[in-house]
Amino acid sequence: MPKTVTDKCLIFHGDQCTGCKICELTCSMTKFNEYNPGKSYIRVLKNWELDVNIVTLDLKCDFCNRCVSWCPTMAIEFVDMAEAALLRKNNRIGTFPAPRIKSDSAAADRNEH
Amino acid sequence: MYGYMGTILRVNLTDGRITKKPLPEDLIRDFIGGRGMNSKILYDEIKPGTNPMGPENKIIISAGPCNGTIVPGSSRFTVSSKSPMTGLLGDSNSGGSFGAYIKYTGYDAIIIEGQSEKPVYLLVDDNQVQIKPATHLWGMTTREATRAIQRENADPDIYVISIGPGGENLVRFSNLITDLGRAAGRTGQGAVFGSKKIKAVAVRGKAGVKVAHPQALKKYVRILNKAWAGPALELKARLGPAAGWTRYVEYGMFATRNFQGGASWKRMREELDDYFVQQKACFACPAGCNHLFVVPKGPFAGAYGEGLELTTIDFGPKMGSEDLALVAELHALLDEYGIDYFETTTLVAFATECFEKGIIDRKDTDNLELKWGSPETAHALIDKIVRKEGIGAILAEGVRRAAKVIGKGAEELAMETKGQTFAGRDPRTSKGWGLGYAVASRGACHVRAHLPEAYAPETWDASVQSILKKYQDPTNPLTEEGKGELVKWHEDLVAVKNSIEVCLFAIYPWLIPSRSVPDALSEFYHAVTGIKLTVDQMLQTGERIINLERAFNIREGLTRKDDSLPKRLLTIPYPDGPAKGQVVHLEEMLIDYYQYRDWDEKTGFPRKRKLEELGLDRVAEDLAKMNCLAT
Repeated sequence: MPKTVTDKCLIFHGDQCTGCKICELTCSMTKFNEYNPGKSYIRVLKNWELDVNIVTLDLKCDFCNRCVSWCPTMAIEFVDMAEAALLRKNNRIGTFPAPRIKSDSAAADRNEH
Repeated sequence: MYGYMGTILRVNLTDGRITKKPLPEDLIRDFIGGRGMNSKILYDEIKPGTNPMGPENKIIISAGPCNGTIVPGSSRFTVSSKSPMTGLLGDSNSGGSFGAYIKYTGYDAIIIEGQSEKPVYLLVDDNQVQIKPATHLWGMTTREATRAIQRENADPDIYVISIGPGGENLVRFSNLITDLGRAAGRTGQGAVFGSKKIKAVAVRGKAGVKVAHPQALKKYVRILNKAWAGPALELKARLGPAAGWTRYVEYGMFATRNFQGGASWKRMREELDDYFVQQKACFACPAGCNHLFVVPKGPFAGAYGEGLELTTIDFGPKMGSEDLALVAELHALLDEYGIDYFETTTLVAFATECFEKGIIDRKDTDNLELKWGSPETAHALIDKIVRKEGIGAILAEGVRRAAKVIGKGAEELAMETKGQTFAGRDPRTSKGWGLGYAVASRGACHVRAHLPEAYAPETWDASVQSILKKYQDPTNPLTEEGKGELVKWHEDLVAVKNSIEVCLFAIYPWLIPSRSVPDALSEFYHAVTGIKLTVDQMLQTGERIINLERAFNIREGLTRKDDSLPKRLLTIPYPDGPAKGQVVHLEEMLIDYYQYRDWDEKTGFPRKRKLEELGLDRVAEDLAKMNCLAT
């Protein structure tokens, strides 16, 4: 199969993630030499009440793999896009309560006060 | 400065003044951070005799050097003030995310002073610190308040500690809840919040935590994380502190029907799996011993929360109930109300026993019949406590004060030390825990010493093996010999853990190749801060903290007779199970303990030479002025 993309894809095993954010800590230390989740390329979105964790990846991520190697529950891995496409076909995403995210417009409102 | 953020934030609710001061270096050197730092600030700033619910009391919320880094279990934070429960030093710590995010706001500690006229909450948003109105939040439960604060600031990444209706109504044993149901649960810190009319503290920040030796830190952390990933520890991670259940059953440790007798209560353990939804970790923790739980069926179906560990499940037996659904539902409810479940469930048990013995009757309970293990009894009493209605107004003062008001022999049924109740392990089945309850500086507490009694000697800390060898059978929970020295050693260690602010559970001896926790803490502390503390210096810091806390309490009038246990546990033999016939021989353990503390056996006062050895010369002078210094 011809490889059309050199990028990798982060695969997330949601039921294994405990939401500890060690991935965020590892990334910020690797890229910015400090522990600071706000700067991490990998981010854990949460529904904190119902314990749903969803990982997102910043476009700047260079797949250095540090977060993967530090994940205590093996909830994340990087794979080739082709493998990811096949994985996508063969897996359902499942049913879960949605995480909440930051509201930009409301934040703007807040700043006006 | 590595590890530390270098700034203490001070907020005065009376006049709205907000000040920022550098973190003093000698404070770190002598007391590390977290609990130790808080105790020092309380000692220096709270005058003896201060009303815990008055404007002169202060709330100190602190992180430690490791919070916000990758150190396993570094999620803890400590809230301290003079306790409305004990009238002595009060502190309580919790895991979750809040501890790390205090650091990301750029502060090591937040000190709240004065008293607001109207309800407020504090928003610490990087450099912006605001005292915001909270009239609209007043009356909300802890989760409702957290949701509302996140919504009005348009950000789910705001971390909150909040009081519920309990704290607002000045129920003495009110607590602070963070995340879904993690609690700074003891000594009534929520009541102090309520008295100052502060509903919550919310933090959000973008500051990073820099560490001195990142590579060394990663090396040490890797070792511990690998241990947590091992299959042998799978059960521990899956069940968390509930994994200790087998020992409770084996030794019949559950305090049953207000500490009247034992039972095995196996059924709840078997049902537990069906309640757990998902393993959940505190910030930066590889273990993830916490769980989201939901009641799967029956009248309480859908009640959800986090925790449901051994020390919560054990409140079922204490109230005479083996119904896990009731326990889980009450767990969620008490977290929403923001009241301590140890004290609350002891009160339910206490009132039920008073009713059973005819000390109170239907006239006292608004015609309610109090029965062991009854959901109606528990719900009705809890409702009255939170609203301070009828008998609830008496119970809301805590079991010691309630027993005094009720009289007629109720005092003998009050299961407490220094005004605060016990965890659900009966001291007659675990003597070292009994001593720990009796001497803990914040009133009865199972995690001030947290002695691993009943665990095999080889799983105990390498640094404590030489002590174990001195005694016949020191790990046996039914023996008194050696417990004085062991409680002293473990209290010192816990004081250090509470000051570095790492979890008691996440860094355990059996996880570390050297099996020495002080050694591991020393390595973590050095890698994070660049400050080298030897194992001995580390434990001596713990000792310094314990002695300072003792001095705070003595200044408030504590005497040797306050290091006690209720008569029931000292004189009435345990009725059944492996501990049948046992009572606690507290006196011999106490003498042993004072000897290793170098405190006077007759008065319980610290000796001058000990305080000076610890660099607490000024404290020694203070005690000498009061005639409370031993020679």
